[in-house]
Formats: sequence, structure tokens, C-alpha cells
Amino acid sequence: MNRRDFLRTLLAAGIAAPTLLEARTLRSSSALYLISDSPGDVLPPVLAEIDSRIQKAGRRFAFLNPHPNAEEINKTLSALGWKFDQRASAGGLAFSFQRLGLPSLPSFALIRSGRICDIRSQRLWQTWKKMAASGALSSCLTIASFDLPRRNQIPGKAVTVYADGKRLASLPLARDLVKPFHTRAGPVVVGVEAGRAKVLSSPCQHRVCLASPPVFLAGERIVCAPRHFLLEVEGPHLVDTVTG
Amino acid sequence: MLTRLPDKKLLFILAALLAAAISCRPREKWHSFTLLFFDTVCDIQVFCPSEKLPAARDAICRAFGSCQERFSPGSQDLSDRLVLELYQKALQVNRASAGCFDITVGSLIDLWGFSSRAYRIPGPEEVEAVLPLVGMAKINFEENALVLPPGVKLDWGGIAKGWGVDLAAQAVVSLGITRGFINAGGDLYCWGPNPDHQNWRVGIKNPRERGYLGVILVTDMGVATSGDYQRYFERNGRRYHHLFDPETGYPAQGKRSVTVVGPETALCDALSTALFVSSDPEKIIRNYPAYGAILVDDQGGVAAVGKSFPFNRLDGP
Repeated sequence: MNRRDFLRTLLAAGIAAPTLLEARTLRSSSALYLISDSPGDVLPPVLAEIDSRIQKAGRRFAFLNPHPNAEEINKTLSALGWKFDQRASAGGLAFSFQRLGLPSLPSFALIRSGRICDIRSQRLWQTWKKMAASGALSSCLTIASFDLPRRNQIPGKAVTVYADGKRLASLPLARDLVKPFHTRAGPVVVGVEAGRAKVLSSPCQHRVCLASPPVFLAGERIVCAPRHFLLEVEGPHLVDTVTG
Repeated sequence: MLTRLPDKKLLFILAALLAAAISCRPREKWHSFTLLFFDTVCDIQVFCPSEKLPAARDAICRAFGSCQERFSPGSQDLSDRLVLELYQKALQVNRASAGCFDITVGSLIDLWGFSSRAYRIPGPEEVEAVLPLVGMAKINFEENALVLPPGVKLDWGGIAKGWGVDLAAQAVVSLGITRGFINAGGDLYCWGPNPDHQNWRVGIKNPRERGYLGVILVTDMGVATSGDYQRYFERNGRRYHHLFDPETGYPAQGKRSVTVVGPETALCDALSTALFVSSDPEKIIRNYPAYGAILVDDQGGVAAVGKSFPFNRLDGP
């Protein structure tokens, strides 16, 4: 079954609208639509592929409505280190179930922000082909909603402090601290708290650096132009340079 | 066999000479540094031998310094060659954009408090009083100098930084540096391949959230962005930014940001303001076939106009 057929199946079953609406009420950025009578078999490879991208606050799962394979899913996920929750929590997996009016070939799709993700470049493609090759029809649709962090936001590991063009220090974001720096133009105090860095005090005139929100994403900066002072979060960048 | 022995020796000598030549050649590597000009952070990354780096840094500082000196508010010799040259560029964009880009908005910038940071919302009568001082047609060109009528104030902020980047990039390229980028607070020029031997990945800031709206992949191109989030103040939940519509005297409405890509950073800079202000940006960009733009409207909708460049949306629906 190709992706078009998959969507056609959902539409033909007359459940696309309610299921999509239901997924949206969870305020989740992503959802796995899985047609299979034994979702417990398919979940491990799919979760293995997306696990590293699921927000780590999660690793908890819940059922939004009764699921005929709840026990099987529970067992599979528990073996993978997931914990069952009575209520869906932010960052975790939330399962819901729909019975398909028209049995269809086993299949799945990952939907992110309303769009189908292309899985051809991932190992999931093999899982997809194996499922479609079995030939047995299924009438069980499982929807697993979850949040993926935004691709353009990578938290950094350290913040580097520059003054007058010279690198003064690199402060790890993992440890809370307050550190003063003596610049040519006067003292500037930098603080790190809960993984975010900010300027705590500066004698500059306009106080733009003090008003700047704390930084924690790779590439984010706080600039104090009059003091020639710069804080920059280090980490892997998605881009070479930035406009705007 | 007897005749081949000298060949082998010759080959060996040639190989040794080649190895010596390669080892003596200055090794090129990537260098990054930061400068502070135009009241902003300027990032530079160049691929060159370490010995060439001081010359590159000096060339960039000279280019930025001369722009900053000439085009900062209140320090203008209106007969200077560079001033006249940039005026011609500004005038060209002014005409092509039906006045949407205008360097005479200086008095509006003052009126709204952007120059002193004492932000205020002027009364309609105050705006009306200042509008006669706005319009490039009011600038006279006499005896190789610009002549301003009393009260007319120039603001080069919409084009000078981009031009500084162009001048700096030209200077660095003329030193034989074949790869790099120069980014002055978002106005940038990149040339040659990036460190991964690909086109440069230029992130466009999301005008409302942290992170990027998307990434454009370009090389040998300038890029500049004008946005309502760069310099603004808020009163009663409403945002007042620094991109003024020269016709009304009020901040232009309808867009959050405009990013322009094209061969000259100065034109990208000026066009980004012109397209931001204009209600018909497509009409303006048609005058510049080598230029393209990405527009974010006031609802967050993204559209591309003009020449298309590879653009990967990162926060897309």
C-alpha cells in the first residue's frame, strides 16, 4: 500500500476527520497512524527510529480510549522502558483506537504538523514493506500522538563569553553559576540557571543585554555592543550563518 | 633497462620537488572572527592561510570603518565620493520601488524616537508636519554634492550596512580568498563553497519565535532581511517598528519580515525595506531579475517572489 492508498483508506473509512481532529486536541506535533491487528509487533522498530527525537520528558504512555490491544502494547512498551500512565502527559505517547469500516492492508504513516513524513530514507521503509507484503487485511487503526522537538531548535551545551574580540571563558549550561567578567569598559556579570545563560548586570547605558531573554539554543547570543561583550551558546548549528 | 634507470631517478627527483612544493605552500584553513561595527556584531568566516588573516581582517575593518564613518547619523560629508555613489544606488531603488525605499525618512525616525530610543507615538498633526521633509526628490544635486533643503534628514540605515558588506567582501576576495562569508548583523555576503563543500546554509530568523523560519542555500550572493522585530516598541499591545512608509509617515503594515537574496548586498538591503513597505512587492522585484525574496506576512504566511533560491522551511505547517 503506498502513501496515497493509505490516505484513501482513511478517507474511505470515513474516519479521517474525527481522528485528525482527535489528534489535534492533544496538541501533539506528531502522530503515528498504524493499521495493524497486532500493533505491538510494529511499535518497537518505529519507536526505535523516533525514540531519540521524542522529548525526554516523555517515555510515558497512556490510552485515550479503550484499545483492544492495550495489554499487548503495554507489554511491548514496558519492555522498551516506557511507563504506563493513567492520563496522557505532555511529551509522552498517547494512544487512541479506531475501528476501520473497511479492512485494509497493514500499513503506517508518520504525520508531523499535519504533513506525512517521508520515511523512505529511514529504516522504517523496510518495516513498511514487510507489513505490506504479509497480505492479511486489518481493521484496527492505532493512533499514537507525541511531540517531537522542533528541528530548528537544538539546545547548546555551553555558553562562550567574548569581550573585545577575545574569548574569555566557556561556561557549561549544565551547572548553575554566577561569574563576573572584567572587561575594558567595566564589570559584566553572567549567570547560568536551569540550563539558560543571561547577563545579570552590566553598567552599559541602554541595558539591551540585561533585557535580552536567557539563551540556551545553539547559536543564540546576547550582545552588549557598547561593552564589546558577547555571549554565544555553543553547539551543533543547523546553519552556517543567519540573517534577520 | 640501462636507459630506464635515469628515468626512475628523474621521477624520484620530480616527486621530491613536488612534495617539497606542496609542503612549502601555505596551508589554508577556516578562520572565524567577530568585529563590532554599525552598532552590531559582525561575523566573518574565511578560508585562507593564517598568514593572510591579518590582511583580511584589516581590509574588512577599513571597509566597515569607512562606511560607518560616512553614513552614521550626523556625520555626513555630502560631497564625498562614496556618499554620492551610495546615493545613486539608493535613488535607483527609490525610483524602482515608487518611493517605498527612501533615505530621507530621517526626520520620521527622530519623530518616533528611534534615534534617541525615547520611543513615542506622535500625533497625526506631528506626522503631517514632518511628511513634507520626506522624499528623495527633495534632494538636490549641485556641483558634485548633495544639497538638502532645511529640515530634511538622511537615514542610510536601509542600505549602508549592506554596502559595507559588499565593499568588505570585494576587498577580501581581491586578496585571493576564495571561500567565506561576511555577516554584519544579518546583512551578509557569502562566496565559494562552505566548509562542507556545499552552498552556504543561511538561516532566516523566525520573526516571532526563537529559531529559524527556514534555510536558504546560496553562494556568491548577498542576503539581507528587514523585519518588524528588529527595532520596535509596543504601546497598548500594538507594535510600532522602524520601517516607515514614506507616504504615510507610519510604520508599514502587513508584513513581519522580508529577506532578499541577490548579487549585491546593498541592493538586497534596500530592496528588503522597499518590499516590506510596498503593498505590491512582486511589481518591485520584477525590476530586479537576479533577485528573489521570502516574505512573511502579518499572519505568519510565507511567500516567495522574484528569482527562486533553494529554501527549506523549518517551522512549516
